[in-house]
Amino acid sequence: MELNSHPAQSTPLILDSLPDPPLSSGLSPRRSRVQIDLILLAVEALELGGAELMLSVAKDLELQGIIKNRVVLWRMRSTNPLRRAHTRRPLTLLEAKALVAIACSLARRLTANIRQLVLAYDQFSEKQMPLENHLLLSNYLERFRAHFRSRMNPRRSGVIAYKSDEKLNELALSLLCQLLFCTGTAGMQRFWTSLFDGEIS
Amino acid sequence: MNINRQYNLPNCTIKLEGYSSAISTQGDSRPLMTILTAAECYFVTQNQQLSGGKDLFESLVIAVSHYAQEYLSGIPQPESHQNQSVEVKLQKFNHLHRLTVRNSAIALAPLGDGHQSAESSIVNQIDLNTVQLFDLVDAIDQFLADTSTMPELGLKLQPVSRQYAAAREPLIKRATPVAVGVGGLAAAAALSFLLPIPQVDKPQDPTATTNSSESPSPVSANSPEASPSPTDLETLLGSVPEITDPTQLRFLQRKVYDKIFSKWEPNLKTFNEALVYRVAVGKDGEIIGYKAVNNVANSLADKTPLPELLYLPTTGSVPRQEPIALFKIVFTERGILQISPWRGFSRQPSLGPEIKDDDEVRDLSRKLYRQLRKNWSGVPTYRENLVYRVAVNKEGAIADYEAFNQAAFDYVKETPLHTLSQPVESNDTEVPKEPLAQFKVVFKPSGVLEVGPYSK
Repeated sequence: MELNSHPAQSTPLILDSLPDPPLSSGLSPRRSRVQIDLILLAVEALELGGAELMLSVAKDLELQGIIKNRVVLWRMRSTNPLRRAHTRRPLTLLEAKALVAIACSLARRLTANIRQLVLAYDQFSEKQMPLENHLLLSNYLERFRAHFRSRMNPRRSGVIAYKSDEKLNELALSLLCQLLFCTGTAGMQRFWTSLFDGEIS
Repeated sequence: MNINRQYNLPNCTIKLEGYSSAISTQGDSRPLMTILTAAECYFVTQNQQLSGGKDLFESLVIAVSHYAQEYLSGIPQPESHQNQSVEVKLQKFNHLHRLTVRNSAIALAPLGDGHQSAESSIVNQIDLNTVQLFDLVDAIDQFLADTSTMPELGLKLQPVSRQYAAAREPLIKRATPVAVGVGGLAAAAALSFLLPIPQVDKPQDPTATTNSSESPSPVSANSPEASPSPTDLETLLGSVPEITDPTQLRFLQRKVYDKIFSKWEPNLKTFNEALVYRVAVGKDGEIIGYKAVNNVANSLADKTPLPELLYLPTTGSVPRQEPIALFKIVFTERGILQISPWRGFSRQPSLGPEIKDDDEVRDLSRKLYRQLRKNWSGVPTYRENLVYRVAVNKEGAIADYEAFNQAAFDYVKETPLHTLSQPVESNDTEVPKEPLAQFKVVFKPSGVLEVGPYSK
């Protein structure tokens, strides 16, 4: 099984800055799994090329030991219980760190784009103008909704809550703002730590 | 020798002034700043600035860092210890983030820069949008990452403990964006920033050593998620009374079913044989112990939600005195969940006291119909009828409901039942005492609503 294959190897350098949260199981809690997959979904809605891009970033960050190929990446993301393809396979903390490193690295590459969208969101909400009027923002929202609906299981209660376009937009915007914070100097550590808020005893 | 440091972001600039307490080595291009004398935080768009000394800056760093974490996770952080003389707060304010600085001491104007008067900085309020907030966070993070400026202040993040996230809000609520607000943001938070990382409490782990021998929590050497050893459950059974009242058992049965069902994500490939457990449940519906009945159940316990749902007493050493109910729980290989009382029902369980008066029942049925009709909206996505038992009290309020078919279970969110039902649902630790009228309610995909008499 792939989850047992790496502890012997030394952890990739980039993951050293992410401390292990005090969890006894050594596995990612449910909320973290959902959040990680959703933040990657938001990245995919920003930039075309999804999985391939993530794999190439994994290579750049020397994470191939953890994310060997497309299938492994997909399996890791399918630990999100909201997914149609959800499996009860656990997500180890090391795997979670690798996904967070990829999300933050991609967010950094997209900094200008993310900043522009969040700024538009700020300005449009301030003036109470419909976000659909902003071309790039509405493209992002539309793509996010399409990705979400095609991959999440509509029968799970966590997904039913996002039935309406409005609710999905709210989710997409919340993730977009989180991505902005991921681009920062300590963005990766901040995002990582936030995944375990309320999960430790 | 004065040392100046500056951290620039498009919307926010932080300027620090101080000196080194160490004897500086000549020719050091970037001498170490260990003493901070003045700090200035300038917001470009607002053309506003905060200035003060070490107190202000330290409070600012704590408040901003905590708010950033709260913003990311949506989980309120506990109060932090800030400097007494200068209090910095960040709060959600509509779409914006309001930064408030309360200065009880006289603000120190930066040296050689007199335009900030002492009076004006007693209370200072600046509203930031999300990008501006991010720039402030990042300016501070750049400072924290800078090892040649106040090296004792570094980024120290720590997740908030479960007790601060007591009410597990649904994802939708936690993930709502800026516009909707994270709700109840406390400015300060748990991540101790200027302090060393506190000792973390012992994790609540099934293997934790806090359990007494009488505790039903599983203790096992092999796997952290193994079921309790037989003796534990047996000891427990011998020491506390068992719940046998059929009505109460029926109540607990439903509660446990809901609990497990909502957590169970059946994966048909993981096991080929049904997993059977004997489960002890407290009168509040908490699962306080379980024991695998067959071998496969023992090895695959972690594929079920049982380990996750196991209630671990916080006061580990106090033996449990409350009565327990025993259930047989079966996870079938086809993904079906079955729960039945371990010893069966001694007689037919009742639904508690009932309202019998025909006129009253007729009245209540009309009330219920109107109430549901009014609140039932949206286009049904289900293709089957949703059948429920619905109980109302004499005022007509929905006190309880129960799904009768699978579709009713799966699509309950599309009915008004879960929003209309009174909080009885959340604290139904006891069988209802007040008399209720029972109805059978059917929601049809065609939009037809039926409220009829309930019969078994």
